[in-house]
Amino acid sequence: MYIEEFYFNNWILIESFFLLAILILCYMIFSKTIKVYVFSSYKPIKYLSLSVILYGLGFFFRFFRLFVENTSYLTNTIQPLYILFAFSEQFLTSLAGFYILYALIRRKITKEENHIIINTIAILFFFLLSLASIITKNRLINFIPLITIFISAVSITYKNKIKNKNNNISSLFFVVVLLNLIGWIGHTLAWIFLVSNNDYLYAQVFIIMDILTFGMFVIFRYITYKNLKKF
Amino acid sequence: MAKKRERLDVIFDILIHIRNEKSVLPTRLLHLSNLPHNIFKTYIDELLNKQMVNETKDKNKVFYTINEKGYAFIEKYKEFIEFRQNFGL
Repeated sequence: MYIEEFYFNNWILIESFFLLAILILCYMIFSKTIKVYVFSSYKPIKYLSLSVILYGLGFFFRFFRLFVENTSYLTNTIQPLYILFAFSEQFLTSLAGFYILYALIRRKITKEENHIIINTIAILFFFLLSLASIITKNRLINFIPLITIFISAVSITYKNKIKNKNNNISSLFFVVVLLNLIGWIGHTLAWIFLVSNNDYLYAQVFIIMDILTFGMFVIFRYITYKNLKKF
Repeated sequence: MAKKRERLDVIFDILIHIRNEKSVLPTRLLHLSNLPHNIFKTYIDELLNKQMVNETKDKNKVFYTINEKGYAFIEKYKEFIEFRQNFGL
């Protein structure tokens, strides 16, 4: 059986399982990191926690967006809901991606006022970007800034991995960020295949990206729990 | 007033000194912690209130000792520092 057929015949089961797994993993990571933030009030950890919870919410809306998309007879009747789901998914996952980078660079920005400005600009920027992406039906508007963000995040975590030689957790966190970058490149490819009516390649890349995202969160959860046994 | 993270560093230092000395006089701890007296008093009061440190009296002298909660704080603080370094935060 073609992977495309298998996915389209069982998509609701696959996506439900995927959503449940991602929500559980996000909650587990968040519940640990937020305890460290409560203990320390260290802001970069707050943004790391926020990023995880925004990812979880983004995937929650993704499920409903896919539900409307794959039950096409509903698309016309509940168009406003579809727009809301698609917009929420794009906005929340974009902001989550940004907050990972922000958590990595935050300590280098010393002035508190600058953080307020950066946060406001980022929220506005990704809000408008997601809106533009929905209006123009061009998801590249969202994907390209995210790929740029993750290229920066990969280079920062790579430097940290080199600095902390022989440290398993630093290496695995680098892998988490790298998988995020691959994930966004994969989603870009999947979208290109979708708009060029190449359903077979779209389904293949889409499923691979689901597996990769799941793997990314499993590693993220593993390193968080390994490092934070006392919390 | 110091920020919370800096405050954590000070609390950690005080607890480490008490742990290393096992039982310590306030004047000795003040000297070791290298803090002005009024600030030191605020911290030690906080540690006593949060029950991380015990105050005992022996021959009219006050001694501080670390307890389970204090040890737990030290362990958590070490993990927090490690987490920051490992994740590059």
